[in-house]
Amino acid sequence: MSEGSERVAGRIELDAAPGQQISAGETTNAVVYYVPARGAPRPKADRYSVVTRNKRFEPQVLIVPAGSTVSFPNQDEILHNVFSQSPGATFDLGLYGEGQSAETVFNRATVVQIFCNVHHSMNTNVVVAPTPWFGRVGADGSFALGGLPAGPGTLSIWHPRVGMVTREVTLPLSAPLQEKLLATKPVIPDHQRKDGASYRPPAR
Amino acid sequence: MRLEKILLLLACALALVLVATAGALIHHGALADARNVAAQRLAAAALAHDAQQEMRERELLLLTRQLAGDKGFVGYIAQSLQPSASGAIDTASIRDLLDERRGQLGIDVAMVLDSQGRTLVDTASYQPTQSDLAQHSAVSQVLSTLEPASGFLRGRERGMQVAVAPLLLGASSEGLLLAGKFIDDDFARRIGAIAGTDIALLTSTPAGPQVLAGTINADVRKELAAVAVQRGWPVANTAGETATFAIAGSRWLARASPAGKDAAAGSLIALLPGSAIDAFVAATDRSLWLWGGVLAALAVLLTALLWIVWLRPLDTLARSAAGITGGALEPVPATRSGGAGIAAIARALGRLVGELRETRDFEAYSADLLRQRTRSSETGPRAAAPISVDHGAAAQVTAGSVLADRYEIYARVGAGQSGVVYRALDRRHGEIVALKLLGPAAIAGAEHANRIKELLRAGARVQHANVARIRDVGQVDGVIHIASEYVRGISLKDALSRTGRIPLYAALRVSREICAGLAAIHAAGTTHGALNPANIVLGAGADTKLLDIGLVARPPGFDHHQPARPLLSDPTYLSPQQIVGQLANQHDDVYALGLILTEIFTARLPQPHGSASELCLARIEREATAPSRLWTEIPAPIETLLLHCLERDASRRLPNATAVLVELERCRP
Repeated sequence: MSEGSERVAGRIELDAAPGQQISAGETTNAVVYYVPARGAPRPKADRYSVVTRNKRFEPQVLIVPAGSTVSFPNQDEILHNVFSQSPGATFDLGLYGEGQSAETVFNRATVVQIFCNVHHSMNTNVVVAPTPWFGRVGADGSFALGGLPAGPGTLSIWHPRVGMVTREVTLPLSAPLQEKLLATKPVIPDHQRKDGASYRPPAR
Repeated sequence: MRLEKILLLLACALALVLVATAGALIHHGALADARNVAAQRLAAAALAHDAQQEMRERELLLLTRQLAGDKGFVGYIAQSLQPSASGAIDTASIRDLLDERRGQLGIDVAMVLDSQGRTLVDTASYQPTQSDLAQHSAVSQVLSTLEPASGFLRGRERGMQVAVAPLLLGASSEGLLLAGKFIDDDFARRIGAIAGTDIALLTSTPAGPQVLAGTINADVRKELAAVAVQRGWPVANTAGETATFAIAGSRWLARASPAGKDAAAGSLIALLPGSAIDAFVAATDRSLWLWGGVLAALAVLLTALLWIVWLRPLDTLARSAAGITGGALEPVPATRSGGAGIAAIARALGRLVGELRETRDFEAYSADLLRQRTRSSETGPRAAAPISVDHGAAAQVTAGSVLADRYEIYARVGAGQSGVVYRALDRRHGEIVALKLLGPAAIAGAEHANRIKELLRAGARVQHANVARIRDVGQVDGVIHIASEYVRGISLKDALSRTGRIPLYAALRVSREICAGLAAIHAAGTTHGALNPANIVLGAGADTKLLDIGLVARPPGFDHHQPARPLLSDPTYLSPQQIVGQLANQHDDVYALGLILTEIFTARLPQPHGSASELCLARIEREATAPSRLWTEIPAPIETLLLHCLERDASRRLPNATAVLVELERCRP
């Protein structure tokens, strides 16, 4: 979508907080979106897919415009479940095996954490953007959103190890943004199974 | 002493036998202890095994209960068990889940069985797929009761302790969950570490007994299996049986017991190498040899010590004593060992020998004197005085007259320098006394007279066996008379003139008695004052007595500027101090004693013969001649003593006769 000719660009640098470690390529899990102060137009919904493979959700972070449908095909030979208990986006797509898929629509602009009820380590995040201007961060940490209207607005940056960071900016920018983010959260978010029970049997 | 020696040797032998017996008893005790400890350790291994096994059983039951109670877990499996269109069940999902839980819970094997007891999924491929475990005790129990159960499961190679629980979803049974832990070497090592033994878990296989797990190496396992065949393990008689056998060239102690209630569990064989017992006993034996050797050496050493220190000197003394009994009065050998007791006995024996010898020699000497005697000698000076003395009225008394209304004169006995001696009857007491009347020449002047009276008064208080007691002193018509004990015997002067030197032991006795008498006088705080051989009587009762106590010799009036001037008294037994005019004191008595003793031991005086003046000069100016030059065989201690008495300087002389007597006692052999 193009409502202007302005551009917001910058670079993100991810550092580990004390007690945390970050691995190479984790910066690319960051996503950004821009909302002008006067409001963003309704984005165009689309279809997206998060694949279950080798007991992992791929990708680990997906940014979609609000109203989009995301399918979760199971490409593993074992049964998996897909569920979320994020506020405003709770769902349980049930257990299904290889070659089967289930999908859900993300209408509300929020960050949705999605897990498998069977496998504790499986998690993915769907960032639902309330704006047509969104994108991922490149391998070098750089990002750029174009076609933006001039004037003030809010740039939101989200990373699963950091959370949401917002910056008030005025376009055009005099210089690219430089953001240093601090990874304070674990790789696998602390979570329970959908019935509230622990994944780990308490016997040991 | 032969008996004592035999007894001592017997005591030594007994001590050695006791040490050896104690050693043997301790050795056998240690062996029994080692065996008991070994048996206890082997029994402890069984207890440790049972405890470990029970702990694992409870853990496995708890795990299976919890997994089977997890609806998510059971639901996932139930859905996986739903046949697909092709009729197959989703074993991959089940295996994945079981693997995940197995890893989380630390169990070795997890299986899902269907409701007929056939294996559907086995994480370890432990059992062939579709193996029918329906007959397995725990599985069949769960199938029939739907309650968790535990037991043992033996696979192709390994044994396993298992728990089985039903997978219930609502009222429907989806199958069975089996969780197991291998009975492996780690399990055996844990038990072995607790009990301190080696462990082997033996099971029956169609090929015979097989070691499922253990802490022993492959060779020992192989031979143990062979032993098990011989003994019927693990099927027969494994209820705490302890056996000893050789494996791989080593001796082993083993205890077999059932490895579980289930016969499939086989046998637990707890093993201890024989070297463990041997090492324990060897350690005890080393200590035994060490301390036994030390004790035996001590026993031998003690025996040798007793022999040398006690028995040998005692033997010597016994031989001396036997010699004394046989009449041989040889000196008792000095004992350098034997302690204070033996030394005291040796001293006493030596003294006894000395006294016996003195007595014997003195008796012999007395007999010799008697043989040479031509007439009876009585109290008083015998030989003619070297200086002619006029005794005046003292010499005029006749037999039959009575003096002082008391003394009836019997006979004149003799005359000396100081007066005349009569044998008289003391009418007051009816006793015969020696009555000495002092002549005018006996008293040089007032000072001399006072000195004599003083000494007589003091001398009258002296009572001693070797001193002729003064009974009375008086004066009649200006003549002083002294009544004293009448002593029969021969004067030392006569004896010496007849026999010459007195034999050593007899001389010692005579010397000691003279010293004892003089010591008694000195102890009374007075002085003899006139000691010379003529005043010493070798009594008929074998006692030597000193006479004329207090009759201080008149100073000779020697003047070395006029040596030719006649002397007023005999200087032969005077000290240098008396010669130059001093009236006698104890120091002068000691000097006179030294002269007399020298004469007794050597028959000569320690000054050259010659005139009285020459003698006076020599005595004043020269040291006394060493007695060994007068008699070469004189014992050195006696010579030293004599020279100590004959010091010209009175202050260097022995102070009194008591000191001389002490020194003389030391001179006794």
